[in-house]
Amino acid sequence: MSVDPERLAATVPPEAGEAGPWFRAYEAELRRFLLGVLRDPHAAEDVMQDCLAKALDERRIAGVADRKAWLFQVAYNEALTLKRRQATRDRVHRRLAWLDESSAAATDDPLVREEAAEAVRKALEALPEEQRRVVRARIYEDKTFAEIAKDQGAPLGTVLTRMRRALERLRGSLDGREA
Amino acid sequence: MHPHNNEAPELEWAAFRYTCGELDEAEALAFEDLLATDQQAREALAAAVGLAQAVRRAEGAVVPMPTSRLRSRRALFAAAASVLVATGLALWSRTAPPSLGHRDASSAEAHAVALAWLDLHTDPDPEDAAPALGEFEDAEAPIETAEAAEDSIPAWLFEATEAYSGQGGV
Repeated sequence: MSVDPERLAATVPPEAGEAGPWFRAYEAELRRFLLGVLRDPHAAEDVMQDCLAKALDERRIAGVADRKAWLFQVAYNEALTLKRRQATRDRVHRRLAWLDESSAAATDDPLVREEAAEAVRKALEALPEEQRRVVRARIYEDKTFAEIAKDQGAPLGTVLTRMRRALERLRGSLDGREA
Repeated sequence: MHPHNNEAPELEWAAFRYTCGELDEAEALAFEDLLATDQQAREALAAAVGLAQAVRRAEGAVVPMPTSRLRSRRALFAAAASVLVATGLALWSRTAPPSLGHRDASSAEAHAVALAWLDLHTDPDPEDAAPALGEFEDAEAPIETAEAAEDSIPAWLFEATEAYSGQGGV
């Protein structure tokens, strides 16, 4: 499944095509992906710009069968390059505060809109209390799973299971909303 | 939003833990290897980030706060600052001349500022004093930044206190 976009682009003939519309279709998801890799909204935006520039280069995208996979591959390669340059970044950074800054910037992301938050809010309220407490502690309070287990006097495995089940339910609440 | 196959739940769970930095070094490297080749893994990571964003937003992105630690530090800090100002006031009241001149006026102003500052920093409920995430320059380390700010008494508070002491030539 591996795609080398540079090699792929070099092997296909240039064709006319518009990068803008198709890029926009994947933009929000691509930004979230880059945030997950880089955990730095500013770095993610830098890579987004690089990706857009490459997506606008018709020679690169001409003949690419799966443009989404190509775009994500390009993005990941760019992100890795950036991460290597910023070798001091903490790989095991456990705080999620960077998500808030990125949310504020991504107003065009359907998952960031108020209706998505409302759907998640309702799903949170519907969670069993013990699952909701774990979600709150991990995502709102930025506690690690180990800290949550200690605070709640529960085995780590139990905390992980509660979180996982809660996420499945919450994800279901968002799946119904995405276009 | 996410891949729908038998591997999807495992992939989504791994992606979420990666997002949180909850994978150990070997697991994180393995997941990154997957990201290099597997579009489903990439989409799972994007979905995990989106979910975490939505959940935080649903709660209004209240800043995380180690409540008990913050409360005890706040109380200790408030007590220390109070003693500092009270000492300055006591020295001043014993040594100040009966009529307030120009220097006294500026000292009184410094006093008012110091008290106002103390009032801001002795909020009994830490949750009321929780800063918004956007107020931190380094959004990645809001807790550390907040604590660091409380650890240091501003220089102007010392100057205000010394202004009182200075009235009596202490």
